[in-house]
Amino acid sequence: MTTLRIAHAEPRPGPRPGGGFCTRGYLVVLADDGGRAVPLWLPGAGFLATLLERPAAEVSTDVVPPELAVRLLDAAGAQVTGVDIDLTAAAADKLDPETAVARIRLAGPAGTRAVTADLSLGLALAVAAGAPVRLDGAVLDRVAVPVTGNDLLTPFEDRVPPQARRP
Amino acid sequence: MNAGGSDEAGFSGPADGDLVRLARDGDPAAFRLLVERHQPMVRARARPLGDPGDVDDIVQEAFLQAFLALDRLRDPDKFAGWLAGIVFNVGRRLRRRAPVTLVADWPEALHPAAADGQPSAEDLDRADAVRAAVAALPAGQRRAVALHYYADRPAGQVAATAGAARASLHKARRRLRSYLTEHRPDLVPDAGRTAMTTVRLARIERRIPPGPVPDRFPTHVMVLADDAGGRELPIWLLGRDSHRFAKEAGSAPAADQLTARLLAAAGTRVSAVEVGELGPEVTVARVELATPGGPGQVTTRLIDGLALAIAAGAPIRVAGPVLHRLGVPAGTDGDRSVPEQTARDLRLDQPVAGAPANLAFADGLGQWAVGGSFTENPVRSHWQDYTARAGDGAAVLTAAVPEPAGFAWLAQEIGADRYRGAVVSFRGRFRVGAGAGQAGLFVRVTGARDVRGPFTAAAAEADPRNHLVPVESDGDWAAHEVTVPIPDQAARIAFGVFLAGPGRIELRDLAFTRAG
Repeated sequence: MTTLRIAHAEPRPGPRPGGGFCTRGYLVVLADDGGRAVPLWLPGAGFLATLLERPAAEVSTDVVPPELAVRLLDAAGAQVTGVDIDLTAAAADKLDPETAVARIRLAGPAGTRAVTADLSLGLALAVAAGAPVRLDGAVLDRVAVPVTGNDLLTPFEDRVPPQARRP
Repeated sequence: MNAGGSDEAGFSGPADGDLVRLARDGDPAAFRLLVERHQPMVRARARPLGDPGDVDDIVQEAFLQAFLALDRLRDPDKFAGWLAGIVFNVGRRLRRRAPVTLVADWPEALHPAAADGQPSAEDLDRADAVRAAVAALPAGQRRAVALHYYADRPAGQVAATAGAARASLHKARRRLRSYLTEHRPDLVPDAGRTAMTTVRLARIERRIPPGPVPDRFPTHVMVLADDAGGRELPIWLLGRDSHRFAKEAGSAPAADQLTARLLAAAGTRVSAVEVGELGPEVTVARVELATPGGPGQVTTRLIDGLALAIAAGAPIRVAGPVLHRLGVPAGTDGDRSVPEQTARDLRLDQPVAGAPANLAFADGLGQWAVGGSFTENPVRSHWQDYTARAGDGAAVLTAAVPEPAGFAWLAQEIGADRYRGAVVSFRGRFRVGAGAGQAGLFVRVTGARDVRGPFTAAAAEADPRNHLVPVESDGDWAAHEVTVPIPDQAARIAFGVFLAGPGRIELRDLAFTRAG
């Protein structure tokens, strides 16, 4: 398994001309340390985007559900040890909610457990818990895109569906 | 045990403290002695607390609660005072609620009869709870309880030996208390604990309330039903919560379902979600957990707690005073028809104005809006604490009640496009009457996707996005100005006046311009 970081979860289409903001989904980009990125279009990644936007040092009382889940698990003596991305369609050459799910790994008094979740929620939980996101190396080889430079967003704007590009 | 002694109250025989200790150890005779000893006092204190017909109920309930709570009496020597407090609380609760016949000593038929000879719904509810608790006991303890408390057999005869009998009853009492604490804490006495009523989620429906609505207007209401009390508690879903439940009305949102599944995987059960208080700036719930390491509690936002209760199938309990204050008779909770989409629904998708408008209030309060923490209240009880009006070139933001909750603002919001990189000035003449709360003018600059944090007066004051200038409450018109640099990433600018507390703030001769 290769550990990935969540580089972006950007709402699209974004600001409206003249003011306002429109969100039809999120362009999420995962990246490894070897110059590869995995772009995903996740319509329901609002909690993930909120968590990524929040400054690391900010202590917010306006928690989103994944943060509450982590607090509740902590009260139960359990921790999220990792979130693995698993393909549900073995031959898939891209990650999206139809082809992949999140397997949330728990450790606690009840032992170690895995809970399957929607990809967006699984990634949000990983951020809330500070847990690593992992992907099978062979799958990563298949779905990753080589990138050069630090811009991990612009090269993948074409992954935003056409209907989500118009504000 | 001080046999033959005399305690402070002048009773002969064992002291109260010794009897309490013996009763805790499972000696039923000891508790019976306490009952006999203190019954006259309990009866005397119960008389002024209810109708003559209630006295027996109060006495029975007080002794039952004392019996169940005996392990929690810190100082056994102060039993009499503690018992007197229980009597008072039982009487007070009885006055608040519909009269009920109380289950005392787990009656033989487990079908307590009300005054008209028929068991009330609450009686049956209590009887069911006690029956379930007794049924959950191990066979030996169940037999001991049945023989002793139901059939009134002496303790020494409920088991093979007197020692075994005491042990069985002692263990049974502990188990019953544990069971009731977990499943029906509203039946377990605790002098420092507010009585809680179990409610059920009756429905979540799309509805827009009539009359003035909060800034973050609600589109859905969650109705909690107290069936035994014939009451309903409407909880309005504000801001993002409206959308959260709108997508999945009637069921818990997916995120909360995941949380419930994660807790289950961790061997933890959500045993209850409790709502102890509701009001502006007090919108939290307490999640009670049964974890492998013992009970735990986590405080959450109200809606998060309720959503988790729905997802986990956990009971929802609301404090009696909250239901008493905010509950409405079942079936009277307004118009249940689903409204047509209104202009307010559409407001979310409307772009904000590009420039200030109606600064002279020629168009009344057109372009202006009233909001504040007083609207962050899911139960409507303070939605009208502040109001605003305009006329003669001025406007006024005023408290509509003597002690308004939270704070309010009267403001308009514009896009930041034309002001980025500049310094803006909001100025005018303002007047705050004597005796008013905190008041002043403000400019608030936010980014495109800023998430509003806790909406309290303290948080608003500390928020670096808010630029506040207080106005003294001397009753005179005075010129004031607030200037603010607008950063490149700014998306929206709000400007106006605020008021926290009673009184009013007036504003006129306004201008909003680039200052540099």
